[in-house]
Amino acid sequence: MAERLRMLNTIVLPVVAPMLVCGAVLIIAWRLRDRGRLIRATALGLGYLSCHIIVDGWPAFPPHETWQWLFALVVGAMVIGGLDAVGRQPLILRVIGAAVLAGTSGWLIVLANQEHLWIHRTTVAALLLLWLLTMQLITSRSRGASVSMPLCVAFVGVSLVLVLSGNAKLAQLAGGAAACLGAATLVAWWRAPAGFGCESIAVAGVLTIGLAYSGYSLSFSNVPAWAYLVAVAAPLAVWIGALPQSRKLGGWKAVTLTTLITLVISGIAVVRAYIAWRADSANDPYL
Amino acid sequence: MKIRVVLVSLLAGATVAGLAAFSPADPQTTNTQTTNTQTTNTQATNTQATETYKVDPVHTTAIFRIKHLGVTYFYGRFNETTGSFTLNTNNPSEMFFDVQIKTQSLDTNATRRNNHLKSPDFFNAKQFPTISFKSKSVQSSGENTYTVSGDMTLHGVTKPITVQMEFVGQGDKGARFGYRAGFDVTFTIKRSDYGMNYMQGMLGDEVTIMVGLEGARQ
Repeated sequence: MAERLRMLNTIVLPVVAPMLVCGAVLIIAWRLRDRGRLIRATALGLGYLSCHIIVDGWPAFPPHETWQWLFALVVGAMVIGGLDAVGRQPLILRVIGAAVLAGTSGWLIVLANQEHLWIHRTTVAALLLLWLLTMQLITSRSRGASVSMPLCVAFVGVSLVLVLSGNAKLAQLAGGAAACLGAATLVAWWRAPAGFGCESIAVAGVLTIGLAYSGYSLSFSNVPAWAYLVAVAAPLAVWIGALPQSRKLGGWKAVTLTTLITLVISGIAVVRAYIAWRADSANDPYL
Repeated sequence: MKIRVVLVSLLAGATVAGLAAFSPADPQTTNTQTTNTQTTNTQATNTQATETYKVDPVHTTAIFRIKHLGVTYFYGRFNETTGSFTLNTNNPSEMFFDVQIKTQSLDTNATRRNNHLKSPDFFNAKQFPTISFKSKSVQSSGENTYTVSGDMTLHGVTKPITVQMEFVGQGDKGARFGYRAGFDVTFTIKRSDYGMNYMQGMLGDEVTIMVGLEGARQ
């Protein structure tokens, strides 16, 4: 019985806990109305941090493994998101904030003994900066499920790619982020203004790129780099929802369209990862 | 007079024969004897002088076992072991072990499991490519057994451990192998002590490591 409970905790708790934390924070923020903007900016981050602690224990500082820097980077991203929530920052400040976050992430999550170290660092930083700026631009006028639902689907995709590349722990963390975004979607369904806005993009960006890159660089599977890239690019489908034609659809129809496109893009990445997983050893019954 | 001449001749002959008996009769025999003496001396020296051995990766085996689901043990091995050790059975405090195991050479006869074990869930073999052991003190603890204390680094965490090593044997194994010596050691660690906590319950915490170490004298 104790064994079963432990296994249940290993699998269920990292999904349920971040969902509850994120949902609760969003509801509290909504109840506080304008005063709750800063709290809302921390919802995704706090949800993820709870998942991180459940999966990997209380973090050490400095972290022992490169991917564990994600904990500190998410805290940093929450600060940047919080500043944006308190008052709309000038464009230049937002670009600087995104650049600092991207550069720090590239510096910290790439292995110091990595071959072509600077190419990896620059690529991670550039990808994250591009992702952050693009998503901030798209989501600056969006709120609620139109942001959280496609992101939720994208994180499920990242999680599946990670588990198929043999990174169960990182997959659980991506699953935890997906659970937070799922909770945010439910909250937005209940009360639209209570959902996510662009203040959560910094956390989402660090997690998407950080988890996918860690999975790619630390994995021994044959999942190609482009599968990870497609998985992290999937949320950019939110662009579709921002187009005038999509806006005409209005409300949940536009959200569903965006989510379906995200699902297709993520699906491509997952199918490619599955092919690699099968090819690793067709008759291998492991997992 | 004739008798004196005969006696002197016999005495001289006997002297020559006697001297001949103690003189080298066959140069080859002499060389062999010398070589034999040298071999004996070398073997004696082996136990007295400290000599360095390089780990033979082909004849060195590193395996581990861990409990799975609480019902059985599964075994894995590491295919690449390097390092060196010094041997001095008469003065064990002079002995030293420095062994490295490449984590990327992990092999459990299942590709997906290998990939999983090498991922950040367990060994994180890209970030921590070696498991190493460096001895700090060696003491004799019985006939052909030694208590070896030192630092073991696994998953980037260094911890002091003490193990009982069995000295299996040594000897000149001909031109192909040269002079060899070997040890065998079995010890148990807790993986959680080294920050490898994932999947506790499904996999046991205790890991038994068995190493058969063979070295070629340098």
